[in-house]
Amino acid sequence: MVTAARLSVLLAALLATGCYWSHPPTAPHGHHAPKKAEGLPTLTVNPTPPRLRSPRVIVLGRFSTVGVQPVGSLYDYADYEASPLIRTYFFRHANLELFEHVSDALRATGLDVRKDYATTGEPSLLEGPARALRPVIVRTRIAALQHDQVRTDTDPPTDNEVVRLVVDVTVIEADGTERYSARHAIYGRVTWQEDLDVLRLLGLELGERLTKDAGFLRAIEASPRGVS
Amino acid sequence: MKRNIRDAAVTLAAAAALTLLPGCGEEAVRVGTLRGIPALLGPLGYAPTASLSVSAPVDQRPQVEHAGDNIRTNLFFTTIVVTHWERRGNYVTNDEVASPMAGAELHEAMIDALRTANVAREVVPSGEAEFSLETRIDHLYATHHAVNSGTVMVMEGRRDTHAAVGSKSRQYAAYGNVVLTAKLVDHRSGGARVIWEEQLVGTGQQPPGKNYKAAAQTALREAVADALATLSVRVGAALDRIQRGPTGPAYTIQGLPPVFLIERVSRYRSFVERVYVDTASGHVLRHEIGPNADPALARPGEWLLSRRSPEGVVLTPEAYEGYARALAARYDLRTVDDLSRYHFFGVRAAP
Repeated sequence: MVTAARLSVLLAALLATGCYWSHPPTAPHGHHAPKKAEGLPTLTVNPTPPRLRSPRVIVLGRFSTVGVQPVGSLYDYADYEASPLIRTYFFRHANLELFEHVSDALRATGLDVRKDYATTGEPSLLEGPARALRPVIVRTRIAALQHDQVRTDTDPPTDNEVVRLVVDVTVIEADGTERYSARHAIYGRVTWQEDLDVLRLLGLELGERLTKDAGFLRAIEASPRGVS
Repeated sequence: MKRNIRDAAVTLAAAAALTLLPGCGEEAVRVGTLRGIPALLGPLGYAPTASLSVSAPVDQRPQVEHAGDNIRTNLFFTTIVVTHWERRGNYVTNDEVASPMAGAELHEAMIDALRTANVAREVVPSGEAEFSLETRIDHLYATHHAVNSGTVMVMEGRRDTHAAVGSKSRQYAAYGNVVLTAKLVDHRSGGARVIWEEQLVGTGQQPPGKNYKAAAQTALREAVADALATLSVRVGAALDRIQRGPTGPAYTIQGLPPVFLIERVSRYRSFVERVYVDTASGHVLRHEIGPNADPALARPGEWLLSRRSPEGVVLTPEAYEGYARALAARYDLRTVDDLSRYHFFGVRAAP
């Protein structure tokens, strides 16, 4: 009798409240939850970049972005109470940091790269002296950028910086003629260290990737040094 | 019997209260508005010559930013003794919370920001002008993540009924995001030539709080103000490149200037440091640190020979080149990796 009474009340409550299953996201809006950090490739920087040369000056336009905030999150899969997603992060000028480091990576190969801070590489806004250099213009748009910190549930747990970057790169002539267009995606990790500059690593990785892309090299008329 | 029903009612009341406490409940929040967005930037220059017509933005936000999204119940079950629920996911503002009049209000705020920044001689909402600015709203929303769960367990003793309750929750910051696609069209020769097109981002953040909708509204207003400041700087820079910008016609100088200006950007791009140097002696005449309107002015920490004269007038590229060549006899100026400026490395060492 007692149980029946309770059951009926609880059943009524259940029906009134609604009981359903759904699969809502476990990451911030627009983000991917990085569950398997240990399986991702490690970001590395080649200490001896390839030596390239090009007769063209390369104008690297400031990177534009459609990346939104939060830029990333802290996930702890090893020890958590309410959720592995512990907190979210805000970082305003990630596109500019990447712009600087991609330029560094391209310049490290010996190419003459000039950064155009004022525009994203708009050919109609090229000034006279810059146009006289007959440059090729590289335009880059960041379609997605995510930088998370992840503690794995392995034994022992490891702390990782995990990044995901998707960019659209276009190479054009100063008259607007397109020479190259491609999407590049980088998804990788690096073991956490104090004061590690992950955006630097990511920018260098993207620059390195471009210097290995035959289509990109053709578009900027680059070839290995020592090869005519 | 009476006591058992009372106990069950107590259990339900506890469960209901716990369900509301961790954030499931709706709080009374005002309807959103993007009216009265403060213009973050003052005048960027003092002698603009262009006229600019700014049309209303075209709203192309995805459906989720109109309809919004809510934190959803992930798991809910109840048995004779245990009731458990989990709620997690993302809150995304809808039209009512963001603003039911987003397009019109953004248009108004855009004109206000461009006028306050003194980007053009006149900024008009419609009609004929030398240049027109067309914009599209790609994104305009605020969001935050939320996680909470709770359990109620009811155990019946011989003389009384006991309820054990437990709940866990976590609050996350609210973020505002605005992405606009902007296009500057030149009508000076009678046609319509696009001279600049860019996607501009504005962001804002608010700390976690109980009234998450109000926090989202504040973060979104911050994001709109940020996007409009960026829009003003970019439109100003584009017009400056064709010598019709906020600083007016570019300046030409001859010979060695008596004073020159070097500048560098702070680590997080918030401030710009300017040093006025006496050309003949190399002495610093003035050193000032002020807010930086354009985070993309330069790489932080690197000293550059400014493209402006000490009076604040933008130099033509040819004038800058001549100015730098004249200074290079005494000062170490080098083309490093900047398309339009020289890096400054101090006084040239004696031969």
